[in-house]
Amino acid sequence: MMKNRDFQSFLRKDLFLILIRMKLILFFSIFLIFTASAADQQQERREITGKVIDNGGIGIPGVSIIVKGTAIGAVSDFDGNFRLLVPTDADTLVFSFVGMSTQEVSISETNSVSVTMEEETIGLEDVVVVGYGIQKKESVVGAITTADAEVLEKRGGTVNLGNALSGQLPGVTVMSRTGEPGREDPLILIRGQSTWNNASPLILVDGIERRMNDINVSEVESVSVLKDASATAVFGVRGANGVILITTKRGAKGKPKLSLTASNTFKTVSKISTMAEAYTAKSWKNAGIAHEVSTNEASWAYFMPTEQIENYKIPQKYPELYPNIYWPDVMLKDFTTDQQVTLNVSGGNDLTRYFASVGYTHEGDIFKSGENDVKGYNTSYSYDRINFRGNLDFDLTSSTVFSVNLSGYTGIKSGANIFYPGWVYSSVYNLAPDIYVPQYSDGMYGFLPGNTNPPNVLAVLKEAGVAKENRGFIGSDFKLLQNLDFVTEGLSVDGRISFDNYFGSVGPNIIDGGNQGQTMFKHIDPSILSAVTAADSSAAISYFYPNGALPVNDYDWILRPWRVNPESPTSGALRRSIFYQLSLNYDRNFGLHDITGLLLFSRRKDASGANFPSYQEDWVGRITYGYNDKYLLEVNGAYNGSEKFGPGYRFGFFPSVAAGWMVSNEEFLNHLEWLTKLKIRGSAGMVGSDAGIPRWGYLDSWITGDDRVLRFGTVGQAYFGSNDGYFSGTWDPRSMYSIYKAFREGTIANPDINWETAFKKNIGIELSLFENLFALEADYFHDTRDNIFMTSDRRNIPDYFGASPVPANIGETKTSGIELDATHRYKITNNLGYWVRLSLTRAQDVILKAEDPEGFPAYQKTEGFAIGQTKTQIRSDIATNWDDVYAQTSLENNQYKLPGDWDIIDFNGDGIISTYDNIPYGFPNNRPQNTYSSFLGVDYKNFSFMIQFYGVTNITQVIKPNNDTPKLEPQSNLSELSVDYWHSSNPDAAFKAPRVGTSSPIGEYYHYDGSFLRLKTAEISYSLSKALLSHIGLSNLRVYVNGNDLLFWSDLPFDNERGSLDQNLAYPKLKHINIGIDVSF
Amino acid sequence: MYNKFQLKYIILILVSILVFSCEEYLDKTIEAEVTEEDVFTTFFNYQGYVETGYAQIIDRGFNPWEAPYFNWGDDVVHASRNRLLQEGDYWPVVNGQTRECVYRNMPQFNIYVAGQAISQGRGVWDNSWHGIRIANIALEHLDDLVDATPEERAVLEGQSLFFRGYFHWEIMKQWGGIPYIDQALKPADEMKLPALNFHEAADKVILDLRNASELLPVDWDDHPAGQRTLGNNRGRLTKGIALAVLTEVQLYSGSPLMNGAATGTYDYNHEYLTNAANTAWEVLQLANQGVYSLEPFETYGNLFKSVGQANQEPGVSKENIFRPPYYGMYSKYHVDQWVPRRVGGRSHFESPSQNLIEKFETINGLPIDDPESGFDPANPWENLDPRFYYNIYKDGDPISISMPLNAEMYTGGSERRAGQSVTGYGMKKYIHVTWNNFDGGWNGGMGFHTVPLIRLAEIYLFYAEAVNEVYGPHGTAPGADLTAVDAVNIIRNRAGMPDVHSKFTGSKEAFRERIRNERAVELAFESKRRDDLRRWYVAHETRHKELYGLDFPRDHSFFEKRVVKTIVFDLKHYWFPFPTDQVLLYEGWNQNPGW
Repeated sequence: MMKNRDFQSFLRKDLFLILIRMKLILFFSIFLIFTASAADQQQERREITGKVIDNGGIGIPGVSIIVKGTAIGAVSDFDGNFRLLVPTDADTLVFSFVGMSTQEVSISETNSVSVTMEEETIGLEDVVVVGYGIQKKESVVGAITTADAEVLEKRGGTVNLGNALSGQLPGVTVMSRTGEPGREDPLILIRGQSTWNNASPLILVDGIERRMNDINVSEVESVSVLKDASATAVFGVRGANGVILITTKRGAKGKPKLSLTASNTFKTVSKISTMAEAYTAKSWKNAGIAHEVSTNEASWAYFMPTEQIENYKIPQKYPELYPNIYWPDVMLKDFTTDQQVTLNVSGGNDLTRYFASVGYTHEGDIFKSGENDVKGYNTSYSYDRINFRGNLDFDLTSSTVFSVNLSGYTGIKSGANIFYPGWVYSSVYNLAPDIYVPQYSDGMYGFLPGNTNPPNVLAVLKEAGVAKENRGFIGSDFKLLQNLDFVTEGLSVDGRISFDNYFGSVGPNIIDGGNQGQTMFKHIDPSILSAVTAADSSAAISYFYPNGALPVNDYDWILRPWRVNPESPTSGALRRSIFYQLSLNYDRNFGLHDITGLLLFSRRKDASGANFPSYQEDWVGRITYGYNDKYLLEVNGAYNGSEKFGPGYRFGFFPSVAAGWMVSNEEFLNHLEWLTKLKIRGSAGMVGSDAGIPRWGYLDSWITGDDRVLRFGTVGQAYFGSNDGYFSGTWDPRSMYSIYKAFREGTIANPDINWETAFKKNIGIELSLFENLFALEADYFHDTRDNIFMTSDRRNIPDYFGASPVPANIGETKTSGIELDATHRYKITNNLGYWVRLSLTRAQDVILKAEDPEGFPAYQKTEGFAIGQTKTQIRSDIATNWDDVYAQTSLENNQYKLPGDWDIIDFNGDGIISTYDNIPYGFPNNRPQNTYSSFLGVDYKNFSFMIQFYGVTNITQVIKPNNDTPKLEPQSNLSELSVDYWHSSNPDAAFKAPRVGTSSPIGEYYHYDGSFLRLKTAEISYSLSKALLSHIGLSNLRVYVNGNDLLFWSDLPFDNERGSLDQNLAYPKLKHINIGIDVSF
Repeated sequence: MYNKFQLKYIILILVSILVFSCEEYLDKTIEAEVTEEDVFTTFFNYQGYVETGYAQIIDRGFNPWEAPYFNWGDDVVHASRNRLLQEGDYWPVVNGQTRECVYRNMPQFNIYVAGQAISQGRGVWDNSWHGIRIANIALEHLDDLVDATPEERAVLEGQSLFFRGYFHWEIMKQWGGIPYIDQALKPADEMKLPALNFHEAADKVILDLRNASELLPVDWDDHPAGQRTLGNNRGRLTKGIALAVLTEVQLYSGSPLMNGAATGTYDYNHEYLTNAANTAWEVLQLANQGVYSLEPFETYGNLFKSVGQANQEPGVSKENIFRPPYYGMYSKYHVDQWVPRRVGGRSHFESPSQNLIEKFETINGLPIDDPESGFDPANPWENLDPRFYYNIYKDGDPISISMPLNAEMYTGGSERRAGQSVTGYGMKKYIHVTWNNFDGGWNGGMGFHTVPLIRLAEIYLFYAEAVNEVYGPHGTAPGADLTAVDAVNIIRNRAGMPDVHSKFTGSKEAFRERIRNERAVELAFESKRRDDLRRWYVAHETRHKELYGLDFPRDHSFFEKRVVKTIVFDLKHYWFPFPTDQVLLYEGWNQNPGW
C-alpha cells in the first residue's frame, strides 16, 4: 500500500505515516512472534464483506482494513469491495486511507459492512508549511501562523492576496492605501517594523521568491507566516523581516473534482473628506481677507462683494456662472462592480495527480469614466487579469516523484491617459466647488482662465484617451523527489529547477489631447449678466483649446483623430530568474525518538531589464529531534549571504535554536481530561536583512563625463577662455570646456557594508481545553536589530567630510510585543454551533541608535522613539486679543501675528518658534502599533454566518488636503476640516482665524489619531445538503453574500490606513459587497 | 525498485557542488568603467579631476535665475528683501533656507559631470568643504602619477594646495576658526576634529598658499605644463593668484577682528601685517614685471563687464588677478535686477546708500565734509570722483539711449517707486546704459558681467593698509620702493583723482581712514565692504548700521537725508553661526559666541 502513496499526502503527512508504518511493522513483528508461538491453536474465523465508498457513493480502491489490535487486514479492490477473514471474536475493523479520516466500525453483530469514508479536513491543520519543508503541527516549535484556503475564501471578491490576509493572522499587519483597480498592493509588516529600510517580509510562492499580489486567491492552499528566528533562520540574510510562504493547491488521487467559484462584487466609496460649499468657502475667504487686511493690504482686492457671494447660495439663480460643485457627485458613481470566476480541476490516478486552475478577474471603476461613444474608447480605471495554474505530480517509479508546476497570469490595468492620475483621484476632495462648471449645459467642459493645471478632471475622464499597463508572469518549476529508503530508511533527496519570467509593458495607449483631453473648454464670466452688447457678452466667454484641437472659430473646431502609441515594454518590469535547489531530507523514528534532518543548497540568478544580474546562494541545514512527542528540539542554520556586500562580508552564518515541551503529553497530566493540549515553546536565533541596501556599495567608483553628456546637458565646468576674450570659433558649448575631461568620485566605498542583523527571541504557549472548546495561542517576542543600514541622508557626520556621507551599518532598534489568538468553539446542537475568535498583535519598536548628533536634546533625537515617530509643533490656545498676541512667542520668519492665531508652544524656550519646537507627538505615522481582530461565526444547519471586526490603534496620520484653505486666487478651496473658524463671536472654534494672503502656524492640526475600527468582513452562506447534492451530481454547492470593509469608525476624515495622504495613491478606498457561488462536482 | 545509476548521479552532483562551489558564485562585480588608477596615473586625467576644484569657487555675480546678492555692508540698501544679513537673521542663511545669499544654498545652478552635480550650487559652506576634499584626494595620489613631467606634477600639487588653503579660507572669513582638514577623510574615520582658533587655522592656510605659490607657474602659456592648452590658459591658477589670496589671508588675519578672535586683542597684529606687506610686494613685483597692470580708467569697465560684442567674456584685464571661473551662458537675466524697471529690468533691488555716496571725494581730492573740498550741498553730485559717475545711477542719468529716458531718482520718480530704489541712487557698476529692452545691448549673447575676486588695485590697497600699520604712511615693505601713500595714489591717479591730501598722510591713524575710504570707493559693490567693516571691527558702530537715503524733489530744491534702513549688527553678528546640526555633532567644535 505504500507503493501507491500519494505524493500530496506524503508532503502533508509523511511524519505521521512513517510513524504509523513503524508501528505497524512493530505490531506485525510482535504478532508474528505471537502467532508463531500459537500457531497450533486453531482459531475460528468468519468472513466479513463490505464496500468502502466516498460520500459521492463511489467505491474507493486501496483502503486499508485491519482488524483492530491485530495485523489481520485487507485492501479494498478497484470498486471498493473487500473481503476479510477475521477471528470470530474480532469486534472492530479499522478503515484507513490517505487523505480520509480513519474509521472504526464495529463488526460484533454483522458480517457485512458498508463504510462511507469522509475526507479528512482537519488533516490540513495537522501539518504546517515551514521553511523548506513541512512539519507536523504538534512538533512545530517556531512561531508560525497559517491561513488555509477556507479562511482566505471568506474574503470572497478580494482580488489581492495581500489584502485577503488583512486582520487574519496575528503578527501580520496589512495596510492598504488605495482602491485603484490593479494597484492595491498593500504594505505588509510582520511583527512591526524594526528597520527604517525596507521592512517588507520575504515572500515565497511554492518555495521560490515571487510576488504574491497577482496570485489568484482560489489557487492558494495555505499561507504560512514565519515570525521568529527558528522559523526564519533558514532564510538567513533575507529572513529578518519575516517570511510569508504561499503554497498552492495540488491534486490528490481520486476521480476528477471540478469546482467553480464565481462572484460579483458591488463596490462603493468608503469615507472621504470633501470641500466645503462654495458659499461657505467664499464667506470664509472674505472673513480672512477682512481679518488680515491690516497686515496685507493687497488681499483687499480679492474681497468679494456680499451680493455676489449670495449667488453661490443654494438654490442658485445662475448655477453655471456661480458654480457650486460637489465634486464627488460629479466624479463618482454610486457603485461599481468586480467579477471573478475561477475554475479548478483536480484529481489523479496511480501515476499522476493534477491540479489545474483558470481564473478571470475584472475590477471596475468607481469614477464616472467609461465608454466614450463618440470617440470609441473606454477610459475606465479597471484591472482585468487571467490566472492559470497547472500543478502536476508523476510517480515515475515507486520511489520517485516528478512534479511540474506551471503558473502565470496576465493583467491589464487601464485608465484615462493623464500624466498625473492623482489629479483625478484627488479631485473628489481637493477641487474647489467654485472652480468651474465641469460641463456646461451645451456639453462643453468648463475651465478656469489662467488655470488649466490641473485640467478639468471630468474632461480628462471622458476625453483624454486611454493608458494601459500590462503585467504578466510565467513561472515553471520542475522537481524530482527520490526516496532513498534503500540507502537508509527515511532518507530522500530532491532537486528542483525553476524559471520565472515577469514582464511588463505600457500601451497600446490612446493619445488624445494629452493631459487636458482633446475637447474644447469654455468659461462664462458672470460679467455676462451685465452685458449690453453682443460684444460684451462674447467678451465674457472665453475658450480654451488644448493640444490637438484645431479651432476654426470660437464655435467650431476640428478634432484631430486620436492616435495610438503602440505597446512598449517597461524595462524595469522585465525580470527573469532561474533558481535551482538540491536538498537531502531525513526523517525517521527510532522508538520514542523522532529525528529529521535537512541539508539544502540553492542558487538563484535574477536579471532585471538590462541590469547586471544578481546572484544568490544559500546553504541550509536543520535538525529536529522529538522525544516521545513531549520534548521537541530544533536547530537551524543557514550559511548564506548577499552579493551586495564585499568579500569578507558576503557570507554569513545564521543559527537558531528552538525547543518545545508538550506538557499535555506528560503522563502525570493524563488524568486531566479537560486538558487537550498544552505546549510551551521558545526560540532564539539570528537572522539578517539586506533589503533596501543598494548593490556595489562596497566598491569605489570614479566617473567621467563623455561627449554625449557634454552636448546634452552638462552646463559647464571651469571655463578657460582664449586670450582675446572671445569664445573660440562658433557658439558650440563644448568649445567652452577645458580639454581635460572632468572626473569625479562616484561611489565612495564602504568596504564594511554589511547586512542588518536581527536577534530574535520568542516564547509561546499553545493551550487547548475540552477538545478545542477553548484554544489559546500566545506569543511574546523580543527582537533586537543592529547594523541597521543608514543611507547617506540619514547619516550625521561633519560637513567637512566634503562629500555626501557614506552609507554605513550603524542603527540599532529593539522591537517587542505580544500576539494573542483565542478561539472558542461550541456546538450547541447538531445543527447549531458557533465560534468566536479574538486576536491581537502589539509590536512596539524603539530606536536605540541612529547616529543622532550628540548635542541634540533628547526630544529632537530619533533615538528613544519609534521609527517614523510623528513630530510636530504643538498649538495651544487661540490668541483672543492683542494682549495675547504680544504674549505669544514670536515666529522665526517675522510673520505678522493677529488675534485668532494659534499660539505655538515654544518647547525649547529659545524665544522663537522654529523647527526646533517640533516635538514628538502621538505615534508613528506609517503603521499601527496595535492591531486586533474579532470574529464571530454561527453555523446553523446549512447556513453559516460570520463577521469580523478589525481595528488598529497607536498610529498618527496627517490628513491635510492639498489646498486646505482658500488662497487669493479666484477659486476657493476650503476643506471641511477648516470650516469652523475663530472669530471673536465664535471663540470656541475648531480652527484658527482665517488667513488668505498670509499664513499663520497650524501646529498639530490635521494630525489625527489614526486608530480605526472596521467591519472587515461579514458573510452569510448557505451550503446545500450533501444528500440533495448527490442527487444532482454535485459534491458541494455554497452560495454566499459577504462584504469587506463595510463600516469604518474613526476620527480620521478619510479612510486611509497608513501615513499621510498621497494624492497619487488617493483613489478612494472602497467598500465591497460580494455575491458568490462555489460549486464542486 | 531503485536504480543504482540514479543514486550515483545524485551523489556525484552533491559532491561536485560541495567541492567546486562556494562563494565564487556571488563574487561577480560590475566592470568599473573608470578606476582610481585611470584618474591618477596620467597628467591629463589628473588635471581633469583637479579642475573640478575650480567649479567649487563661488562666483558672487553669477546667478542665472535670481538676482545675485552679495553686498551686505553699509554700501547698499536691499529694498524688497527685508530679511537676512542686514536684519541680523543669519539662521536661514547658514541653514540654507534662503536662496538669496552666496553662503549656503545659493541659486547658482549645478555643474554636472556625467549626470551628477560636482558643485552643488549650495554656496560657500558646502562647495568649500567639497573643494577641500578634492584637494586632499589629489594631494594624496601624487605618488601614483606615472605619465607626467616634473612640471606637470608641480602644477597639480600647486593647484591642489591652493584649493585646500583657499577653500578653508572662504569658510574662515565668515565663520572663523574651523577644523583644518588636511587629509581625504575615509568613511570609517572618526570625525571629531576640534575647531582651531583663527590664527592656528590661518597659519595652515598660509602654509598651503605659500607652498602653492612656489609650485604654480606665473603664466601657464610659458610653462611646460600649459603647452597643451596654449592660449587657453587664462583663469588657471597661477603664482600671482596664490600670492594675492595669501596677501588677503595675512592681512585679514592681522586685522582687528581676526586678531581679536585669536588673541583677544581687537587690534592690528603687526606680525601678520608685516607678512602681508611682503606678500603684497611680491605681487606688485609681478605687476612691475608686466604680468599684471592696472586697467586705464578709460577702459575701467573691462574689469566688470563686456559690452557690445556677442559672447565676449567679461572682466578680461591684466588687472584682474583672480576671477571666478566663467560659465558664459547667461547675460540679461543676471544683470537685470540693476536695470531700471522702466526699460525692462526688474528693479533696483540694491540701492547704494547715501553713506557710500558720501565717501566719494570731490574731484580736488578732499572729502565732501572738508570745507576746502568745494562740495556744493545744493548740487551734491557735481565735481565728484569720476568713479562716482562710473558706479552710480543718479537722478537724470540716461538709462536708455535709443529711447531717450533718464533716471527719475527724485522722491516719487519712476525709479523710486515701490520695490525700486529706496535711496535715490542706482548701481551701475556691472551694467551698461545700453543694456535694456530699447537698446537691446543685452540681447544676442551680449552683456556679461563679472565680480572680481581679487584685482591688482586691491593688492595696492592691501599693501598700503599693511605698510601703513607697520611702517607708517611713508614707510615701505622691506626691499620695496613703494610707500603706503604711493600705493593709494596709484589707485587714485588711475581714476583721475589727485594724490591723497598731505593733511591726511601725517599719521597712520589719519591715513588709515583714507585707505579705508579708498577701499570703499574703489572696490564699491565688489562684495568687500561687509568683510572690511567686520575685520576692522567697526561694523557694530552706529555709523555703519544706519543707512541713509536721500529725499529730494524733481527740481532738486532741497535734499533731505533720512535713515531708510537700520542694519541689525551686534557683536555676535561678526561671525556666522555654524549650522546647528554641525556643532551639535560632537564636543570640540563650539558654536560661535552669541548664537
